[in-house]
Amino acid sequence: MPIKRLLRFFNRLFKKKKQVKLGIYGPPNGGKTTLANRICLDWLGEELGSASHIPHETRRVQMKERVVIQSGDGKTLDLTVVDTPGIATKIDYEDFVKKGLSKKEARARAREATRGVIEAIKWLDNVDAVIVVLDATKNPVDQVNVTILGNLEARKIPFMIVANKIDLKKSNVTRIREAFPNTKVIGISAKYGHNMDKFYEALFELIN
Amino acid sequence: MKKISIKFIPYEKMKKNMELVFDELKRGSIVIIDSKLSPEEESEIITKTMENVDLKFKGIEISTMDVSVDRNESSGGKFTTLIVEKLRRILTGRERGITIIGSANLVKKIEKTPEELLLYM
Repeated sequence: MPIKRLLRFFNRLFKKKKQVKLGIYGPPNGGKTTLANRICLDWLGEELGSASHIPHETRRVQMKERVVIQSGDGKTLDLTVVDTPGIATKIDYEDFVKKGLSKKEARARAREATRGVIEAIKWLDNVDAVIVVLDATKNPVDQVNVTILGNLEARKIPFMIVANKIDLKKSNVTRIREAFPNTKVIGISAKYGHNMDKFYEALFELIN
Repeated sequence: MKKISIKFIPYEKMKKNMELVFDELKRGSIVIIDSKLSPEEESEIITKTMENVDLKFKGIEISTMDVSVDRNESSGGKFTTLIVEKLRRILTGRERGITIIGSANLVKKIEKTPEELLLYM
């Protein structure tokens, strides 16, 4: 692990990266896939994966390469968008049954979801920058969020927080800013594309 | 009457064998570790949790509480205490604090304020 970190550090220091692996992380149902789809739709015209109201819809890391985004002043970023499964500390198959899945489907989904969490954590060693997607309608002071942000800091991976779902009345971006005062927080609605121009601006700042 | 066991596991013991934590959690105990965990240790706990999840064990609720002198004592101006604490951290590689872990079957939510941890069963 320390060798990998050292290599990443020297990579950043001496090599101008052509492609940037942008990890999209967060707890389940924050809108990670919706954001990944929004980015891919905006710049490639096609989606990356399917989003759902049932938690743990994304149970494998999925990615889209050659997503080239452009800033207002003509700069470009060549991204590999890496959409990761939601990180959680508990997975109860009965929650999926309550959402309408059969017991068999729910158990399979829970099994796959546990593997997905492990895969997402392993992928932290492979990404160059991270967007942490939080649901702006929920309390951000959660151990999973703290663990994700702590790991990014410890690994010295550049990251910012996206406070998603600002189209909903209950959303509260200020609460997220107050919870994580040292991190850049951008409020967006990935579903409707609200504030995406600010998001891309912040992304250029983060990576450059 | 419902009985809940609170099991104390020293940090060093947990580091040597993390499965001990899960043995206790599966017995229905709430585990207290005498240190704040590093982010890497927290992600290791999550990974191990996912490996342990099955039809009976649904996962964990975890929270850490920082009781470092920086927050509680620095305002008192005890410069020497701060130095001693920094040295302790360098030598032991540990942060002062506690970690509390409960099985998700038992603990529904842990809420944290700067002064207390609230466990909802």
